Amino acid sequence: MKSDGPYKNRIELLQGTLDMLILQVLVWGSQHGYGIAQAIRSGSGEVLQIETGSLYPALHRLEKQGWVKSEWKQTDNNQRAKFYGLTAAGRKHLTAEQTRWNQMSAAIAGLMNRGEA
Amino acid sequence: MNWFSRLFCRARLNRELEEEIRVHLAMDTRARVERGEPAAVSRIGARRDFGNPLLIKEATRRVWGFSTLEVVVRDLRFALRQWKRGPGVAFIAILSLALGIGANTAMFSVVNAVLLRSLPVPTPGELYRVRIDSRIPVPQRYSYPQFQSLRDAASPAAVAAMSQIARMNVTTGANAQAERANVQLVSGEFFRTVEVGEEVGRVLTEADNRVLDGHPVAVLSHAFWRDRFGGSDGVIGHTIAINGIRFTIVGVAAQGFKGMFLETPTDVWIPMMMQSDVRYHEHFSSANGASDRPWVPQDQVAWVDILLRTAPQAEAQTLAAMNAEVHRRLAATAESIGDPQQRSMLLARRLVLQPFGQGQSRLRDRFTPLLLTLMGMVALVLIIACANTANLLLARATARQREIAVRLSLGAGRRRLIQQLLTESLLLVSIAAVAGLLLAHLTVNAIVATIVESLTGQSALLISLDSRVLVFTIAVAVVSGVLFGLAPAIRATRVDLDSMLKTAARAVQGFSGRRGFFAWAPAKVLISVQVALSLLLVMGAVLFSRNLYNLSHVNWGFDQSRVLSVSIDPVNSGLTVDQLPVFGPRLLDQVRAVRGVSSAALAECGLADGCQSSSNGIHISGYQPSPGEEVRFQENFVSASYLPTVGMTLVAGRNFDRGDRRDTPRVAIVNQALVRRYFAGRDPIGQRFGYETPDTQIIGVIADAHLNSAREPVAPMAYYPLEQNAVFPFSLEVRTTSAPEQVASAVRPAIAEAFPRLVVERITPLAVRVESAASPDRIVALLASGFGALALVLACIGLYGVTSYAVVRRTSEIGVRMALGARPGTILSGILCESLLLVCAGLAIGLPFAIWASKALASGLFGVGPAQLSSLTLAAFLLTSIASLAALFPAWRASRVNPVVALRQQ
Repeated sequence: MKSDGPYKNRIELLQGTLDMLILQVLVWGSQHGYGIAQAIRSGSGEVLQIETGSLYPALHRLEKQGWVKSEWKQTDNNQRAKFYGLTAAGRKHLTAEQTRWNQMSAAIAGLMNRGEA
Repeated sequence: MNWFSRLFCRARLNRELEEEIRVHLAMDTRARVERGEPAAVSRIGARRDFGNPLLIKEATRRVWGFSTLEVVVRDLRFALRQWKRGPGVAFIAILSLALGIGANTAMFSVVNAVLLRSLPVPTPGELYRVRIDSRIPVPQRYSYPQFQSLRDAASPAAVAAMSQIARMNVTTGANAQAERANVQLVSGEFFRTVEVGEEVGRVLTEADNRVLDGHPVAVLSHAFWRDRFGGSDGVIGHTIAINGIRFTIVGVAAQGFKGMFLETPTDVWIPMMMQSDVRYHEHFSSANGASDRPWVPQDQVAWVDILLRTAPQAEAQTLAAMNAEVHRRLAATAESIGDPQQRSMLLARRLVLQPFGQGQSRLRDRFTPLLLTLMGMVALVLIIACANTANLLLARATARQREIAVRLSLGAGRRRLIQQLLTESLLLVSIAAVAGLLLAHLTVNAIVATIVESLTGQSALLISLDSRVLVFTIAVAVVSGVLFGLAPAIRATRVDLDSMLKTAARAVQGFSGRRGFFAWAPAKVLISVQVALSLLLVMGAVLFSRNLYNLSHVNWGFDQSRVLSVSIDPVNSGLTVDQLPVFGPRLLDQVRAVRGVSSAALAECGLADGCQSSSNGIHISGYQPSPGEEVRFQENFVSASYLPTVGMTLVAGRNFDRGDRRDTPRVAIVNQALVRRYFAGRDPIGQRFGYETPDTQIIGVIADAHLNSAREPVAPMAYYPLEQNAVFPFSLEVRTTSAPEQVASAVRPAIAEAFPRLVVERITPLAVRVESAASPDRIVALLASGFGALALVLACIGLYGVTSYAVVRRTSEIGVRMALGARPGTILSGILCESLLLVCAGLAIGLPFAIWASKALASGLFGVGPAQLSSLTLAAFLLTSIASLAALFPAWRASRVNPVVALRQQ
């Protein structure tokens, strides 16, 4: 298989956007993979449903970049799961991404509104 | 998880990922159950929602990435697995490479130690030795007053004087045994000039070299201090006795400095002013000087070497200043010379600076071309080994054609495959390099020790595998690995996928499908190259062996079989000149009384001992020297019984007898070389010669005899009787009735009984001494033969391997042929012919190189004319016969192929 492209989502999200969402979820505390997926789904009002096919590669990519760190802990149900938590660098990256996203969405909104007008 | 675990703990990462996925699925299932779904449905639903775990794992693994190191490790494991399946190829490859690399490392260690290494002093490039540049060869030594004037002229540059190494009796403690140690006399500026400091105490300075016989101080070398005094600081102030004179130790030189002579490390340095006290009487030339009086104040005794340290910018200036001083002195002397040509030659003498940062080395002076030749030979061996390995790898790659084709069609990158094959080559070469290093380390010291011992009588030169050698080995290994690995790898992956995958398993052709048995051009070329190089090496082996043979069959001119040679040192034993007339006869009488001794004699110089003494400025009555010609004889002072004792033949006149004493006219016996040179056509008996006046009469002529080397032509030589000259004898020759070794044990006590304090250095049969004089040549012949044999073996292994592989490949074809009626004999001769064709091609390529190489070697060899046809024929014959044997076995196997079995193997 020669293709190197990332596994495509059902809802096409830019890779950077997915990273940003994950990091945002983790602001409220470290969480395991399933929990992150649930949080994104519920937090976006059931609009955004992350494919696990892209979630886990994204989590490992984030860890490789140094924005999250992982640790095996016990859940409330006494089950051992891998929890991901935000690092200081990750926090910084999140702020930067948030700013960029706001700029981007403002720009796109401006373009669309002008088009409507 | 960090980069470390990503590299090395893949298994653990994979497990954790599995665990994560499992936990996720469990949580999802539970959530669904809590929502009200039935258990079975919830599990399936969870899994469906999750997606394909395999794809997720793949994606995640891709995030982890494949680092280069992991790839390399994987390739290495793959290579090892391949080898386990077919260890033969790997073993042969590693063995031939190890031999090639090991030989190269060993040779380079020697070259490094002798030719490349500098003295362990700061900026060795600034150190020089002063030499005289003159049209006729002159002794390259200076008198002490000459040194002083040059030193003053050259200031402020640092100039020092040093003597050669002398073996002296040194006693290191009150009750300790006297031992022989290497002592060097130096001027006070020596340590400052070479810029070597002290480890303990202080080194010699100018203040230690002012008053004649007034400075009994010594500096030890670091190694000597460590060995004899255990490296204790209390050695300062201790006294040692050198040739009976007490010296106070004032310091130890810095560690690592072993003196200026490569093969003989200095043990003790003493000031030059102490020369006559310690009776240093070697390596000098005297023009009417009094050699038994102190040499330091005499201008006529030349015995020192002059060292100089100067920065590059000041070099020309310093040299000019010294030359001006020399010219001034020469001009004064030239006035008194009548002959205008001699005068102009004298005035034309100049001083030059010889780089001396590497010190003095007899090995370097005598053996540099030989060492470089050996280095070249050994490089050829390595190339042959590489060609061998390349052939083996090529052959094996053929067998893996299908596998490579499949992998390429599945999407493996070509570069990736080449990388894998290259990794395997590098693994091969790394193992071989380690094995080769070990081999070199074990053998090189043994070989060098033997050469050095034959040159200097000591085996002190230690070749260590230092960092430069290590770097060299690694470089050689990498280059070889790439050399023999890259081309086969590229070739192996250049596969025509289409045809490869379609054809049946066994009926694979060569890469290019060309006709002929060896369908691969590269294999043909490699074999031919191997044969050509082998021809060169076998030729070299033959030439060196012949050289050795010729040398060892030279008639030295005396009887080696029944003579025992005893090296004595009467000077260092305290004997004085007036004791000489009693010393000689009494010693000889005592020795003659020993059972097994038929006669004994004394001589100043022993045979095959490295001793050489000559005089010039001789006037021969009736001989007019041509302008500028120097009349120089070699000379030896011998007792009356010398000629019959050593077995030299008298061809005219008479031997010395009782009638030749102090008060009778001076006589001499000359050799045929002298007669040929100076008495062409005339009868020499009765003729006279001498220094000022011709006062010595020639009474006999002996047949030419070699003194120290079978290689050099016999020089004109004159023998004088000890009875008429006050000269110390340094050699006692004993003629025995039985084998010399058996009498040796009886001779030593006899000498001790006559003169208990006489120092006896060595007692060896003359045959042994003559043999060890040829020792360097023997070792070179041995090495060259070894390389030649190695090359032959490697080339044959290569030929055998390639032929075998070709036979295996074409088994089905052979089967078809035989089924169609071809006879086994035809098959055999066909394969043999093709192999021999390759060998002949190789011989043809190698022939011009072999001729050129033997011409180049001829100048250094003895008795071997260039491009000796017989040597060439012998080498070619050897190569062809052994190569055809190598090809015979596979060819014979091919002829035994059972056609039914072969065809069924489809």
